[in-house]
Amino acid sequence: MKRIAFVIPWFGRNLKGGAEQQAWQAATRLARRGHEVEVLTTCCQSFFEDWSSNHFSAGTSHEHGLNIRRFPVDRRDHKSFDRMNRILLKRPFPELKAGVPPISWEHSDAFVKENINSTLLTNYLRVEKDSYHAFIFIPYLYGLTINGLPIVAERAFLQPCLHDEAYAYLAQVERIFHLAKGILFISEGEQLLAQRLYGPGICQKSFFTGGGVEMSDAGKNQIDKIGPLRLDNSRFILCLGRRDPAKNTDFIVEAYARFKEQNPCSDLQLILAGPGTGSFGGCIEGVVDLGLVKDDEKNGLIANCLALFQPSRNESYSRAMMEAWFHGRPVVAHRDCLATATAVQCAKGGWLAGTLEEWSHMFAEINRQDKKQIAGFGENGRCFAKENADWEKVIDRYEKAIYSSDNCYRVAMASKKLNEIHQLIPNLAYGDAISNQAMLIRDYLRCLGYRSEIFVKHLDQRITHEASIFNQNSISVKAGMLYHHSIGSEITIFAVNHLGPKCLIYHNITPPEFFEPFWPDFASILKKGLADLKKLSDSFTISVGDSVYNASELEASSFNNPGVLPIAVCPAKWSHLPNADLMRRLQDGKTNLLFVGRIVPNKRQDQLVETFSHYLTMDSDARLIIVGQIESGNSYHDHLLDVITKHGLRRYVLVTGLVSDSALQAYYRTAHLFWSMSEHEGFCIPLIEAMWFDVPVLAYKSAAAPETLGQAGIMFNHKEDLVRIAALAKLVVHDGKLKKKILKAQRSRRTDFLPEKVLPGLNKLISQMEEQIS
Amino acid sequence: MIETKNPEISVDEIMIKIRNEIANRSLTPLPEPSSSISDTGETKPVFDDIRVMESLQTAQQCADTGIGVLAMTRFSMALRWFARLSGHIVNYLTQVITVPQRKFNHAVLQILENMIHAVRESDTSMRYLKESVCVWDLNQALIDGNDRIASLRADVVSGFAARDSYFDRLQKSFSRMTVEWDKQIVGLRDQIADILKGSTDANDRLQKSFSRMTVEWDKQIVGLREQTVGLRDQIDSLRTSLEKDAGELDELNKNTAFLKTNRILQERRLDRFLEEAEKRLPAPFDEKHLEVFADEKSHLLDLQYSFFEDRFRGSRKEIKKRLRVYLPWIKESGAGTDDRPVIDAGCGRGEWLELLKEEGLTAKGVDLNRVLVERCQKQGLEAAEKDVVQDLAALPADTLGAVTAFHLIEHLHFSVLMRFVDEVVRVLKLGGLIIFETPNPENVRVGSYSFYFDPTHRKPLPSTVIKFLIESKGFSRVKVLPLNPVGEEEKVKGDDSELARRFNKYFYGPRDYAVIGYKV
Repeated sequence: MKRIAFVIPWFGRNLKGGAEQQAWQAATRLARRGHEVEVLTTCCQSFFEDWSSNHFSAGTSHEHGLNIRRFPVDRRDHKSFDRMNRILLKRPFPELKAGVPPISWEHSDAFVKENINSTLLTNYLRVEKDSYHAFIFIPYLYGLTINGLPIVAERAFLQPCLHDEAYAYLAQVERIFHLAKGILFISEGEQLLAQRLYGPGICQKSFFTGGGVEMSDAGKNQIDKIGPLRLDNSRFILCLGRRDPAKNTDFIVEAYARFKEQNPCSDLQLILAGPGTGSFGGCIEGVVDLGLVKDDEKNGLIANCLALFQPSRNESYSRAMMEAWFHGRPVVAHRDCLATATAVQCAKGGWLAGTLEEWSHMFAEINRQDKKQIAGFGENGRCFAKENADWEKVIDRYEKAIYSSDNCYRVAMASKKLNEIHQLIPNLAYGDAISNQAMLIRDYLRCLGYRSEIFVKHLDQRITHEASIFNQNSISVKAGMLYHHSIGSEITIFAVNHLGPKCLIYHNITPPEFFEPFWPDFASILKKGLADLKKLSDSFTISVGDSVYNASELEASSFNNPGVLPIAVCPAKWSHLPNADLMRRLQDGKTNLLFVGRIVPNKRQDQLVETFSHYLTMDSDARLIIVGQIESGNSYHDHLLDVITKHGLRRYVLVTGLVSDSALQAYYRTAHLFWSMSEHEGFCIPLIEAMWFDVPVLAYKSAAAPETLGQAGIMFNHKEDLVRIAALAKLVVHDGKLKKKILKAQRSRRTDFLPEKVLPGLNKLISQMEEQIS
Repeated sequence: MIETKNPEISVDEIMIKIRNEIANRSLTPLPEPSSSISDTGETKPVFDDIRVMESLQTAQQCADTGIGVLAMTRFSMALRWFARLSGHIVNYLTQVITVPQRKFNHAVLQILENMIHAVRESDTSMRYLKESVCVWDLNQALIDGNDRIASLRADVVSGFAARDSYFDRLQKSFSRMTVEWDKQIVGLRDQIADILKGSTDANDRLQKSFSRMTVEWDKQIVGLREQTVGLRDQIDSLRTSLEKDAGELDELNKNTAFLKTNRILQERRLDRFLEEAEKRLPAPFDEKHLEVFADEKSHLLDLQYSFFEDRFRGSRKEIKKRLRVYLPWIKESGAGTDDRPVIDAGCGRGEWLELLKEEGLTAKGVDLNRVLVERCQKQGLEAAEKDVVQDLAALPADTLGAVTAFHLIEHLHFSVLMRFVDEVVRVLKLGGLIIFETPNPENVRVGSYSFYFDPTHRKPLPSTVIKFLIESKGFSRVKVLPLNPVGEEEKVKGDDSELARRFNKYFYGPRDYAVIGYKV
């Protein structure tokens, strides 16, 4: 078994800070389970010391079952670092936008370069990387992580301890999230934050490990008195942690003051405990400020409080909350803090509050409720904490994440007579979903031990290494063939003439009547395609459609018992930076309504524009973005522009044409609604893509759309009243509760189209082809 | 109207909300949007906020001159104390100068901050202007933009004028300053000039680029940029895949070399082992074991012989062409059907079998050479590794349509040949056909030279002998077929001369012959 290394700027048992404690606990506990664990750190003593001074001597020591290798830190220009840091911290919070670096790459480069760094450590990583199974970089911000992780990216796990702060928006930081092999999250809220900041590209490599709380002395050594304060017969709310404005301590005191104004006779007290300068004690009657307390005192406080209030908006994980839950106490957290709010919601272990009004109301609520009612929430919290904050379970999840096997499908085919199964497809284009599907199928077939290639008639210059140009001798008689068919092309005849076992994969033909008014030539091509499809049924005894809808079209064209093989949609495709300029401009507070799909008559972008004009009567601060390829010869595009002009919407509607992946990512990430009026879809991949970007989907119920959406999204089944459809769109965008329900269903639905779910569907096809051999 | 399979969503509730939305909608004409995006191109900030802020911070850090004293960490303890004390004294004494200087510094900094604010405002307006330019309304926007730029410029110019007059006054009041302080003022003034120049330049640049830019141009830039990125990615991925391929190829080459050497060693070892075993251990082995050894030994040269064939026999294509001659005989005799199969004794590389298969005829090959038999089998031909005589002996009588043997009989001991012919007679059906091809010793160059290319040949067999033998075993219509004549260009010229005719007959006659006969 190879070594596991934790890479962290400072390391020691008694270091303060969430990341430092997490690293210590995880490293020592993994070592106790028999893993060979090393810590790669610097000679610098702690966050609070000079980052260019070497307190410890360099070298290896063995402590607590760990090998600790310390490396000297680099000299640094702390002045230019401090300057950049000040500029970063000065950026007002509302100005921070996902995908928009707050300072330029060159400036943030200086920030990273003059951060805490150790060239000797990064050299060590470069030389020794192969002798480690995994590197866990913790936390995300420091030079060690940002410069070190790319060196060992293929075996690097990032435990970011991410906060919603200016640093998280730096382009260098986003880059390491995309590079890392896996990302370990300490809370589900932190995971959601990361996905909001860096997009769905990180979804599949995200692991929730959680953080543990050591409850060894809970229950014993409990004290019931601190100074004159008797804990067991006081009614009080507890607020733990550093007392400073960033943690919202003055805010909670203000909320308490308001509560006291309204309930002057209440005996409910607010007790503050934690480090920090100044004291709130005595400023308002009922507020007790204990300052820094000892561990047993803290335990006593938690055990006897009515509830714990956690007003901070900037946490990636709250230990105090977990401790309160272990003691069966409910928690009130800030609505705007993703980490704590998500935990409270998942646990059902308390309540959320945002405004001053809400917080003072929470004091009143707890004052009013009796202990039993409160205890119910506390009990929920206890169950949640036992599952999520128990160190043994946390370490189980670490092991699972680090040793999760790589994605390879090992399925043994019962009897294998075929040696080769190749694919024939008219053209292979970069970024095209069907092309991606073909490549995934090829890799899957290779995993099963077949020789497998893709042969095409037309090949995109950017992916010449993925396929070969087809000629008559490309596929031997004994090889199996998967033929991708839509309207048919000059290679169809070769597929028909192939004598070996073969299967037709049908990607749908648009009904020609849509095109007749706009592009009669293409309409006749489509007609011919439909007519040809019937003829193909004799040559192909095995066939699949990429939806049940497509399969039924095959059946109607007298194919025998066609199967279904959906198109795989993999979010890892989005592991690159979005177009920053677009990200900035599209996050200007307006509502972005998005549709993605070729500019063709069946997709009814014209009707979408018309409905959008009604939408503007209900929400005038919105824009409609229509993304998709414009084909020459298709007069529908001119028609669409006419409709836009007719409704006076030229400044409200953006028709982009074909865009790059980075631009498309920006459109998806900033969209508030994916809105389709399309009347014919054979599968509709953008629906699934929108789901991965957590964009709610509203679509017309037609063709394969209901099947692709499944339980997710929301549909309308007629278009008689466009005003109503517009109103529905507005509700999906602005009704928070409705949107939440839709997103929840979408998050579950989108996983049905992951390659690992879709591709095993090929097994049936393959065995049918094998049977044809015998 | 609404449909969803999500059990959490109540359609009725949504319908009520929709009715509310429709009731409350505003039917007034649309306002102009506060901004619109016209293209996907990137815009560069004109005003380098960060650099200016950095400079301002540096200025702020130096503004409070004459207050602190340096840490003097380069000096040792006592010296440091003394140096710091001197510092304090100097500070105290120069207060006459430093106090007004500090006031001056702060006044100038105040002006700078105000200016930066003004420039930033103008920058935002510029950006707004640029964004509001739309594909369809470029002209209008340009006019608007120009107006705005003009008014902004007027604002900035008046700001500068005000600042200049303030400056003059300040300069006058501090004319008594020492040279040291003068230098600082110059420095600050330079900075101000830089910023002034920066903002005027920026305005000019914007104006110019406005008039020049068209939407088309922007798009092209974006397109190019994306193409470059795409190309770069492609190059990178190509490079990686090439490196990978090269590595794999290298690996393969190494493996092949290793395997080759290993095989040779293995053969040598096996050879020695067999010899030693035969020599030293006759007693402990029973008859069967010895047979196995002997059998193994007989295969030792199999691989060698297969290479030999490839080298001397001629190309596969060539041989197939030559063998085509016999097809009419086979077809005419009715052999090659399922109940009259052909057996090719000593099938070698299987050219004949392949030819028969292509013609749709049923045939099976027999050969002692394991390597060659495996090669045949790999090509999907039916072949068995057996001794030909034993194979025929195992067959029931009257079962075959034809037995062929190309370049086999010259490998057999005469007694074996006799047994072979006997078995052939037995297993052929009535009307069954034999074809034996062998080198023709009547060609002297074959009989005395090329016959011995193959070290496993026993002795040349003249056609008359073989014809006689076949006939004597009861075959009829026996015919000798001269084959593979030497090309005319090689022969000695002069057809009419007796000498040339005879010489050509004996030296350049047919190189092979075949004997064909029928069982009656």
